[in-house]
Amino acid sequence: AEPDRSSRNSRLRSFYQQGQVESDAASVGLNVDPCDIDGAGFDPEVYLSKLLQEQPLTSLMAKEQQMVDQIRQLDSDMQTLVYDNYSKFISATDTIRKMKSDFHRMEQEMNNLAESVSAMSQQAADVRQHVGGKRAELKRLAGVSALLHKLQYLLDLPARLTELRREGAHQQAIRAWQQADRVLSRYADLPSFRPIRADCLAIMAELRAQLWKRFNEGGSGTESGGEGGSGGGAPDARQLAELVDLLGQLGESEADLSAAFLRQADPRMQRLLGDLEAQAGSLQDDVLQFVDQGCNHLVSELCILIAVFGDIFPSPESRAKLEAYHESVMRSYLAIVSKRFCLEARESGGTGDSLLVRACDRFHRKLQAMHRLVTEGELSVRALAVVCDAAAERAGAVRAQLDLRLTAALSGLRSQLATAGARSVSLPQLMAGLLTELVDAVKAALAGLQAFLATDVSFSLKPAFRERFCVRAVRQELLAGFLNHQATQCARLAQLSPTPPPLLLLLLSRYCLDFRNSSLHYLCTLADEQFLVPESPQAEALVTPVSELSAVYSDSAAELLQAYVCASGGTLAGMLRKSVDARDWLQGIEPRSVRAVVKRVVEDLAGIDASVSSLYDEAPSGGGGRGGGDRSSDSSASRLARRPLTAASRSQWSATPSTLGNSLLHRLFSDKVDLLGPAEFGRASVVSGVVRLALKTLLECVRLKTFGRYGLQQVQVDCHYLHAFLWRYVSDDSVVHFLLEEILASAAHRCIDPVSMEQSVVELIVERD
Amino acid sequence: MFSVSIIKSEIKMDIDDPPVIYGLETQARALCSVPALDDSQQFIIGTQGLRVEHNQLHLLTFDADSNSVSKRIFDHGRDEIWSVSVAPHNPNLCATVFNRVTMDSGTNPSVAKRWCLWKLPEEEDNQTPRHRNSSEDALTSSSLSSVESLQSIGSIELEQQGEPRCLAFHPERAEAVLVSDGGLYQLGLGSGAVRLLAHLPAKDGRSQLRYWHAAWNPHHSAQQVIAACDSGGLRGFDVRCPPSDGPVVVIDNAHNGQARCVDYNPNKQYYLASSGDDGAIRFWDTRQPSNPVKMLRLHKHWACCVQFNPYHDQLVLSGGTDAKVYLTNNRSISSEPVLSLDDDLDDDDDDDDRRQQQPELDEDRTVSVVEEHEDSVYAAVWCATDPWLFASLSYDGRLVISHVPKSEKYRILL
Repeated sequence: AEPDRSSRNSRLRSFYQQGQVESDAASVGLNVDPCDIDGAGFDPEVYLSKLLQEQPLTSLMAKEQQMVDQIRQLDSDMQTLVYDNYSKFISATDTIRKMKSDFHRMEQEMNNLAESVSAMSQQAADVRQHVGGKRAELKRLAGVSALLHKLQYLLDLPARLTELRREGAHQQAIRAWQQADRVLSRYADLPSFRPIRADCLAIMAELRAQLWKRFNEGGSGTESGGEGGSGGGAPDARQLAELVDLLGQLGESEADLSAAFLRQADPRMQRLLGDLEAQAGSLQDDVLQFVDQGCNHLVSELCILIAVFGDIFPSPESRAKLEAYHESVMRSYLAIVSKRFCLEARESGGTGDSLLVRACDRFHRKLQAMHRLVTEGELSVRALAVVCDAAAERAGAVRAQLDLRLTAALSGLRSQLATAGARSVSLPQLMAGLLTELVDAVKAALAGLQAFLATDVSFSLKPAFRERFCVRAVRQELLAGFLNHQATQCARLAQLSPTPPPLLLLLLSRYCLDFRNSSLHYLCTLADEQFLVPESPQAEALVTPVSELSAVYSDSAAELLQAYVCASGGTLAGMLRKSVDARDWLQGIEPRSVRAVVKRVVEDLAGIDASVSSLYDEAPSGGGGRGGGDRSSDSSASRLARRPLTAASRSQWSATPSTLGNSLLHRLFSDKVDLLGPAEFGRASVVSGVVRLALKTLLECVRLKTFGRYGLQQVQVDCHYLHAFLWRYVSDDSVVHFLLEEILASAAHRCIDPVSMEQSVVELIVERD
Repeated sequence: MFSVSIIKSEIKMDIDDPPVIYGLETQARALCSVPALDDSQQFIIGTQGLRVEHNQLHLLTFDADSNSVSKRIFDHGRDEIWSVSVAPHNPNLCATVFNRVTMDSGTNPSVAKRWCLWKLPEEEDNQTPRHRNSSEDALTSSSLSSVESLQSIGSIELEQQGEPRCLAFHPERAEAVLVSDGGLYQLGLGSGAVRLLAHLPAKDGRSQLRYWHAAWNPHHSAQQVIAACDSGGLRGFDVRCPPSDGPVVVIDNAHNGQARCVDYNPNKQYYLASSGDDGAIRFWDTRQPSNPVKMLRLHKHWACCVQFNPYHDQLVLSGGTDAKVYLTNNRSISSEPVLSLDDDLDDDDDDDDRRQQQPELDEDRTVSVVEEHEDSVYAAVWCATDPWLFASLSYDGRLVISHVPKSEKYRILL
């Protein structure tokens, strides 16, 4: 751009030449300062006069001095420049002189050269004259010679190849053959070449076979080398790589070679797998030994195989093939190990934990190491999965043991109750014993499984393991599962059709209640702490909450209690039913005493009351109608005492049958009594449930009979007796009242000759009994 | 599809008819549904009055339009009725088991249980208008002026009869089984006379059983009868086999205490229900008698009767001495097929609506409880002609005729 501008400027200047002079003059007039000492329009006079006018003397003096210095400086500069120019001029003249002398010598040499060239052209002309017409002949002879040379080479080729093969110079042999093959294959239709080619092919086939053989030997060589450790395989690998290279040059595809390589290695792998599999089925060998064998033999060999293969066949396709093979072997191996571990977990007793943990640990470590070698595939994850499965299986086995323990404890309890009889055993003691036994069993089970979480165990900190083992297997399936199983197992007893002994039901009901109150939370918290169950929502989603278990236990307890009420009430009811059924109520003598069965019922009720009160205390949770102080201090013996006649309100009840109309009226004006409501957790509620059930049955039985006069009177006596003794056991007197009245009314209604006994006589008879 | 949604809105608007209550002055245990030929909804009940001059059979016809009951009364004399049954093949043929008190020499009364077959007289048209008893004045039954008399067909004395309990008519043939202490007596009722066909003694090895109730198996042209024993067991017999062969179905300890009632599922072979003194209803598959298929513990005391709905066998009716009648839907063990998914895919509009109902639909549940009784319910039966109507009778003489709730009805039908 710069030259452009200057040229443009110059053109402009030439165009505006006329006006420029004027403008120059004007600009000079405007811009040139005559006082600028370096400027072009410097005027000494003006400058001097200006200085003289403006400057004081001292500055004038200084100015003069300064100017003198400057002038002197300028003078010396000029002198220097003159000297410089002079010396340059002298050196230039020297150079010119030297050049002149050099030119002289060059001229001489040029002359020599011209002479030589002319001599050469002379000789060339001579040669051309001599050779003349023989040129074509020579060319032909040279061609024939070369061809014969080549033919000789070809004819020698079989021998040469044999030689090379014998010497083991496979590389050279192959190269020679490859060169020759091009020609041979081109002239393959010529008869003379055919045998050569055939020979060569045969030799090469032999060579190939030999190479294959060596290759196959090499493949097995890795195995024998493998026994000595991973270092032994390396030289073989190099040879193998060479062989593969050679075979590759002979046209074998890498795919074939890699497949052959793997095929070669396969039988041994299969044999090892077979050995392991045979061991996996039995507990004969130590599991640790099993893992060692698996790791040392199979896994090590597989590692070596992978390493060697990776060296020889680097292409991605081969790699994929290796992975497929490796995958298949590992799959079988993992399956076998998993099977063995699970067997160990299932079959070994309580002592097996540490051994199994160590075996798992060793296995996991080894496979993690292998995972580093084979980065693809999720070997480490799968190894962990195997370990998880084994641990979970172990937890499952522990759970099964606990279940057995529970069953044994329950049946033991049952037989204990059956043999010892109701009175001679202390129910609270039995219950406490059961509670301790089972809680301890659970604690022991949890403690045993903690071996899996030891800090030196390689997998104990893996989140996947924690989730699978701690949360799912132990906390949920083992603990929550067992607790749930225990509750449902207990509740199942309540539903059995030939009901188990009532005392068992009663005891288990209390047991469930106590377990819920004391041990449930404790065990869950213990497990949470021991197994570090995280308080994350995921973990909570997997685990049955304690509240749910607690509800299950409450339900079981209620169900068992209800079953107890039904069972013991049913026993009393059965006695009453049989006695009513068996008796001929129509014919009979005037009642003299209370029927024995009624007395028996009252006695049994005392026994039931004693059993219940040994487990359930007086104050029921719902609050019975009258938990009066007069009753709380009663022993069961004094409960057998009859109703004190002084209590005015109670003695108002008369054993005279009211008419049906009265009963209807009673129903109309009283609230509907829930006769057979569910029992609450309290002595009074339970026992009164039993009483109500017995009385209701008595009522129904009475309704199925037809009574004579004395039959009715007997019922009267019985009812009065019951009324006198039952009040102690019930939480709500009015229900018993109502039922007894109903029994009497029904009996009266079913009576052919309804003449009731005098109240005083009834009381007398009851009094006498 | 459109119609479905209309009906649904109707369900919401529709209120169930209230139960109709009919009262007797005496106590009562006997109730039976009458398979009337004109498809009218009839029940028959018998009074149980020991010292009453005139015990009666009341034949009640329920009128769905006015939600009321009309009745015909038949005189049964002094004999108190313990059980009544009507022949399925002949609604005019009925049998009662009753108690007859005889006073010999004035002081020593004796009581004997007997049974008799009766012919209900044909209704004489337009003779007298039917007495209408609406639910309001239910507790009063009318005067005895229109009492008709029964025509006895007869009864036969049977060896070792003991106390008869009830008579179970054969569902197809003119046959019946008399259940009594002495066992089961297979009776032929054809050609106007009663004759004994076979006697199945109530023996179980050496121990004596007492049968309480029996039911015919309606499948395979009804060749089997099953009886409920006082020991809590069930015994099934094939009437084609000689009595000496013993029972073909043995279910021991079906109930803890006495087994009170048994009924075959009318639509599903081998399935039956039993009730007993333990208050439980148990469902059995006679091919696997060791364990019940299902158990319901609803009654707090004896469960006196249980009956499958004759058309929709998932509906089961049971009554007990806790004065409750339970109507349950036991779809899981019924002949009703499980709803296929295709049913759902069809509708688009109320798809979500349905899906929400789906889990509820498939669950077994208690449909309704009859709370109207104040005394023990000894009998509860389905109407023989209307699958959505049932009646229950309590000891104080109160008959309650109730409907299956409409919501349930539409759920089953739609």
